[in-house]
Amino acid sequence: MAATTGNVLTAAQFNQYWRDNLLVSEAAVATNAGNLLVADGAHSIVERIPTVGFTSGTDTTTSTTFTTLFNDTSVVATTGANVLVSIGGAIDNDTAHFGGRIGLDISGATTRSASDAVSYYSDISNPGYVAQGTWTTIVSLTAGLNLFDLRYRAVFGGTAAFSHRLVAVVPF
Amino acid sequence: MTAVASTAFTAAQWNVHGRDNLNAQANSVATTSGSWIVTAGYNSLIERIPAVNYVGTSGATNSTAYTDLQSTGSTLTLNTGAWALVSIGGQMSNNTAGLGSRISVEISGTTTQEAADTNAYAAQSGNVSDVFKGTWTTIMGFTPGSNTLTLKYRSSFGGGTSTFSGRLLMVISF
Repeated sequence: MAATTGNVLTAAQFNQYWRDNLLVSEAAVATNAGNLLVADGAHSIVERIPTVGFTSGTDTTTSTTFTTLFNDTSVVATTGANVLVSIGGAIDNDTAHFGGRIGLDISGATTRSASDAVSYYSDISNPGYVAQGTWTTIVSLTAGLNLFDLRYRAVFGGTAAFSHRLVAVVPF
Repeated sequence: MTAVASTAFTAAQWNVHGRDNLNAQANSVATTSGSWIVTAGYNSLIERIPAVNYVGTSGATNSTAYTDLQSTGSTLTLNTGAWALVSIGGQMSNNTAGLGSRISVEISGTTTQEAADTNAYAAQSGNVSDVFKGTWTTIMGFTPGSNTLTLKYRSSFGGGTSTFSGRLLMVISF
């Protein structure tokens, strides 16, 4: 509301336009250090928590379709409609040029299977040779509680090995 | 505080509940264009400044332990919270088939952390001087305060001489 000369704000006006607006401000929404404050809609701010999952050890698969490994690498986050996601790890295959991929399965408010489009991929010309890196992108999804779970495949066969597996999520 | 009809605020009440609340808002905390505001605790905000350092210069090492190149860096010094998105990488090759290269990051300041293979961009050459360019992007934990991040390099998977260029370090603190 706009103040007008000669008119005193009533208690009700003060509570609605001053107190209640402060109660939905960024500072009022903040609860813990290190979180993001993002828009949740018109005149609405929410706190988001960045999170990371990491598995150091090595697991293998011969599957040429995306599958789980013995040790899981995943994170759960409350998200808006977009998240920044980084997935990756160290990949090798015991057969030259057969390669490996690390993909991302999303479940919860969103249901999306792992695909090559969102994956870190390595294919080296010698058996057992290693590449380690990440694929970082912004993914659109259904807002809510989402599980981000890594999936793996040996691209052209062989046995693909995966270590230093990473999934990092920055929800917007 | 909640206003009550016909009850005037005292100056002290106004200063605490009016002025001090306004001073804690995001636009009061903001000082620098291009920064962003994150939480610093309960009802508390702080400004963080994203930063990037790129060193195009080529450098080489045959060290199998993480080390500097002839031209140090990339490096950044900035105030961080307990977490930051960190992206490290560059272009690299090894002069020996079957051997490889790694780029990792060392942290000093309020945080002390050595460069490690678990936090590295790495590749093993199939042929002599195969070239790889890419990044390793993760969320790292810090002791909040002023921290210096510096890229470190090594020849790996057996040695050889690794050459690095286009060296990138990017930090977005939460």
